[in-house]
Amino acid sequence: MIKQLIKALSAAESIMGWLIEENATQAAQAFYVLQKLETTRLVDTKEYNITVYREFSDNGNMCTGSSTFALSHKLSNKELADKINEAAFAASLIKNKRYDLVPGTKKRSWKQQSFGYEPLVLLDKIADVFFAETKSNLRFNSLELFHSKITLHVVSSKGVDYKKTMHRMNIEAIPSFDGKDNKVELYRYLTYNKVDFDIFKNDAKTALQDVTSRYEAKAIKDVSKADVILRDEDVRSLFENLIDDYSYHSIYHKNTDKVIGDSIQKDVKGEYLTIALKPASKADGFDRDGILLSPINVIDKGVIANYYGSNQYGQYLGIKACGSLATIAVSKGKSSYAVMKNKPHLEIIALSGIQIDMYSHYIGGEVRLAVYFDGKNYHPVSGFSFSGNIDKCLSSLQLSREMVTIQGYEGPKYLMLKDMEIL
Amino acid sequence: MTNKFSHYLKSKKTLIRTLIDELGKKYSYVSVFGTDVSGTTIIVDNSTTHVVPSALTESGFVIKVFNNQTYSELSTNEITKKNIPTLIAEIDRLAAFKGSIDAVDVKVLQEETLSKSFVRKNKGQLFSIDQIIDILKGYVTKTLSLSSLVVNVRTALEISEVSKMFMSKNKDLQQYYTWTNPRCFVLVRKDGNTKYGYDGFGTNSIEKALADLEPALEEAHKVAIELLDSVTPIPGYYDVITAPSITGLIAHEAFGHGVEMDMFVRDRAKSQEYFGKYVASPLITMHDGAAATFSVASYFFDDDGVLAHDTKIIDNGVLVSGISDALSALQLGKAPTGNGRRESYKRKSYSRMTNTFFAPGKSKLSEMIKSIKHGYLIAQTDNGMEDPKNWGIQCTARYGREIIDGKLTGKIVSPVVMSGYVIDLLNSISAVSRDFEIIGSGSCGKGYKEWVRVSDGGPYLKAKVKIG
Repeated sequence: MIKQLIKALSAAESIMGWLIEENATQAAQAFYVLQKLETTRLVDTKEYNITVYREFSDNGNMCTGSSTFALSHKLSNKELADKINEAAFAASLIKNKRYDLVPGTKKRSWKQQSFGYEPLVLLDKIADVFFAETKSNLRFNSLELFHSKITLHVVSSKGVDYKKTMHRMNIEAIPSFDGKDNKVELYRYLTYNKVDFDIFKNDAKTALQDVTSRYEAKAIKDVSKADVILRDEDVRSLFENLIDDYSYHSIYHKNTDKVIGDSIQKDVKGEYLTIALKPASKADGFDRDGILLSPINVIDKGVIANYYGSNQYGQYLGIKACGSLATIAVSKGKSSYAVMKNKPHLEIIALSGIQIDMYSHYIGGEVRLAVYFDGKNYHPVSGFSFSGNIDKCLSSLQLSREMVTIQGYEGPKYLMLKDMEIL
Repeated sequence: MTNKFSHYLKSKKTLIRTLIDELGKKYSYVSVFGTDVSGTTIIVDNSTTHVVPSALTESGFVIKVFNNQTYSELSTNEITKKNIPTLIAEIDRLAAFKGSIDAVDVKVLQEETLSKSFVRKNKGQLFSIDQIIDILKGYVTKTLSLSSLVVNVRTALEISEVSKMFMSKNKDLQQYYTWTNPRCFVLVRKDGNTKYGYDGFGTNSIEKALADLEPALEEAHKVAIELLDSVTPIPGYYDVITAPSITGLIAHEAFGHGVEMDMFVRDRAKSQEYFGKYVASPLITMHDGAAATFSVASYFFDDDGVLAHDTKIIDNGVLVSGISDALSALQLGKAPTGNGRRESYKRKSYSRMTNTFFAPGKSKLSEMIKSIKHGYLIAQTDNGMEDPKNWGIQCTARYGREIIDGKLTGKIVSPVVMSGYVIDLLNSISAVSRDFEIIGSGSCGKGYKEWVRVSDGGPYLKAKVKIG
């Protein structure tokens, strides 16, 4: 189909350029209910996004207009030509400031090594590893496994012809504990870009240990303030919020009044933050505009060092665009996890979702499971919330030396927020 | 906009019937779900315009079979005469897969014989893309002129037309409907303090969507300016009045997810133990259903081919029903309620909410405000998260208006993060207003995934909540 698209787009005289995104998905999915197989699924699809570009003058200003349409099945030549004309007309109405499309180099492709198993067999093996760790009252009431092979092929009128293939394994696991008086569960969404059965085993074990702790957890009493330790996904989420305003798009639209050289940490008593963006893997060679990706430092020792983002808005700011980068990389911290845990603290094991509002300087969340250390003993606790001022948190932040790699994040596994309100 | 059922899906019907007949020789259940959703989102801000496909855009099929042990599905976006043997071979390979783990004990889905076609066209005038861009640009310019504090204004109109069909041995259903979601965002800044206001709603009339967007922008601007003086609330327990969007958020997060009956099959819902028992104040009646009210999730049949329902979940405080997809209902021995929904044709169908709301009561909002000594009127949904087994709750509202001695003081707090225990919150409801509003612009995930469009809402409620 891509050949038909290229031919039709090349023949369309009204447009200045075009870009085709071909997204191919091959996936296997398995759904287990109370540790028995309920449903299996296969996905085999190819979908296209086609963007057409026009260049024109409007009151003496040069404009680039674009319009994108989606296709999932083959059209006749006439139907396709009509679609392109419709999009070309829409593009002629869009008077965006002029920008150049990304020029291509030579035809290139990137490929992540496959996981080495037939996908349905792999899912079965993983389920087996998870269920091997369970007991009759400590089990996974729901387990959903998703293996995806995603191929993105971008071809443009400017010579881009890049293809990348990535593999991903996602697991939604619901560890559950049936006790004498109560039944409890936790929610776990795990992502992997490699197959390591020891890691699966460890994650299954940890999930089951955590849900056992939730059963044992009591309401927190007589603690109105505490230092809070976050880990993994919650740490990633915090950093994602911290750099969100420094994309080219955000800067161009003035979502923040901070600029390169400004500090995001004031009166630092804790550790300085260095936050970069990088490709998801070696196979993540380019973005949807056809920009070849390389890492960029966004925050350097607490100071905004670079903006980031896609082609159009990079050009609007007069910056050579770094492209859309999928992974946040944060430099190693100075504190060991053991030292962080020396003093009284609350370590959050499961949040309903971290809440961050950078404009209101708010950070907080409802805690589903935490471990409270009172200086002498550890107590599993639940059913409370924490909150605080994000700016104050950043000035006293502690980052762990221990590192973690999860989907979208490489950096300290643990982070300590000082002096949070507990309710 | 075509205002008619997908020509593409229609053109595949004969082939699909052949495929069903062929697979029916081997499998006790065969169905094919087809979807063809097209649409456009037009986004205009103070310096750029974008025309991109609606986020709902998709076109493809799900072929589902039962081999008397497990259900198997193949998602594809090509069914042609030429590839039917390949599709059958893939289905056979999938259905024949024997892993190391036993299958659940499940029977074959039973379906009544039903052949029906449904159409709900866009209401009112249709607009060309240049007309829409001009109108949106006019709104942006007008909002920018409201105050020198406005930094950016963004408006968007997402227009979708949905064609879906469901075919099996006994069923031949097709539906066509349209939906339009206008959205707006206003960013303001004063002395380095940045805030924003936004709004989003839904309708099946482009004309109405464009008309209602203008006052929505004015309100978003007003709220953004007010938020410049907001402070974060002091954590504590407060009497609050929830505006309809927050009422809806509570209905959705606090209770709705917990009565999705695929959770019952997985022993994931505490509510299973509470049928016929009080779970809320007797003032509370709660509904869900594609046919329960008219909003974004008002389809005619669900992605399992089950006709839309209006399900009463809580009746005067007592839990009376859950909501289900076809497979979960089968496993529980219940009739399905038309709540089987897929994020896309590439995903499984789950029990999902549609339009979820608390029914209106008898109280006057003004009287409810008067009854509060110190609390907040909280408004505008930001997000929420469910905890169906343990009934924790987290609901985040954009802002709260302070009430002291029965009067709104003009002070505003933001954000308002409510948390606590579902039953405590629902039992604390002491007044339900006679107002009713449903907001049809939300998206809902199940856990961290499976996003579908939902609406929620209801009246104003008076309750006691933890804000922290």
